[in-house]
Amino acid sequence: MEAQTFIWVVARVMGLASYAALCISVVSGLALRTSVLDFLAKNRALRALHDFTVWLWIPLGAAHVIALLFDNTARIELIDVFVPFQTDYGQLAIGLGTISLDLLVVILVTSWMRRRMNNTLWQWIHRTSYIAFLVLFLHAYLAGTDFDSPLISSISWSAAGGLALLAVSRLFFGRLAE
Amino acid sequence: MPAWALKIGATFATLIALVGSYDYTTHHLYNAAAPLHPPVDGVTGQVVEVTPRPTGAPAPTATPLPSLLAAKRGQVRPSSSPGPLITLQPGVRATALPSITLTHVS
Repeated sequence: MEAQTFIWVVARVMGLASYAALCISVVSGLALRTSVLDFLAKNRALRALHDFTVWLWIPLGAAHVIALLFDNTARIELIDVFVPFQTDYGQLAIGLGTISLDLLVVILVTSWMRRRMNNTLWQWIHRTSYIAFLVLFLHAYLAGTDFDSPLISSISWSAAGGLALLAVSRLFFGRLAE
Repeated sequence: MPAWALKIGATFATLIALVGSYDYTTHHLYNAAAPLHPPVDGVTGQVVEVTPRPTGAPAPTATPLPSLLAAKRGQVRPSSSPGPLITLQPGVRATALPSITLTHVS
């Protein structure tokens, strides 16, 4: 396999794997506020899982972005990583990925600074993770090379649909009955 | 279930996604139906010489087609040149059959 082809494969693989890791992160975060995973573990363990998932999706997401920076065909530049809609093709699809990355960075940094922040402000910032995930899903749908595959598409849609259902139940019903 | 078991489970699930994605992408390197098709950069019309050139003959030079030259960031990429137009002589009718896309010379 040529070096450029390998970089292209790495970018796609890391994108898909980071999406899976982010799904676990979001579901564990939702489980803290609903009783959806109470059959599996107590909130303390779920909180530990939610904190741990950062170390799964950060390296994978970073590898996805770095691989695209080195991909001569994708032609993603450093500014495109932080400023959306700057590319000369697929502006919306790639720009959504940039927006989700920016949001995730803000959510991550504020989570690390939580003890030094106002709790209400932190909560509202952390709630934007739902928006970040939605934008990330749209990025994957509009830009994902493998998203038309029935296998990958069905898994991705199922994961996103399940999370959407949980998020809506959290929004309207709060913590489910024990 | 203890926290360490959840962490191992999450790591294992991510690894499965990683390995599964690698297996899928290496078996589907190119996807013509991919939503994004970035413009190809660096098309210079390189000619690969497959037959030996007679001694003393001038070396062929490759001329890049202007329409295929990659646009720089911020520039509008030129579209491909329009195809040749044909004019049918009077009495000649166009067929309803599908056009020939492949010719074979033995």
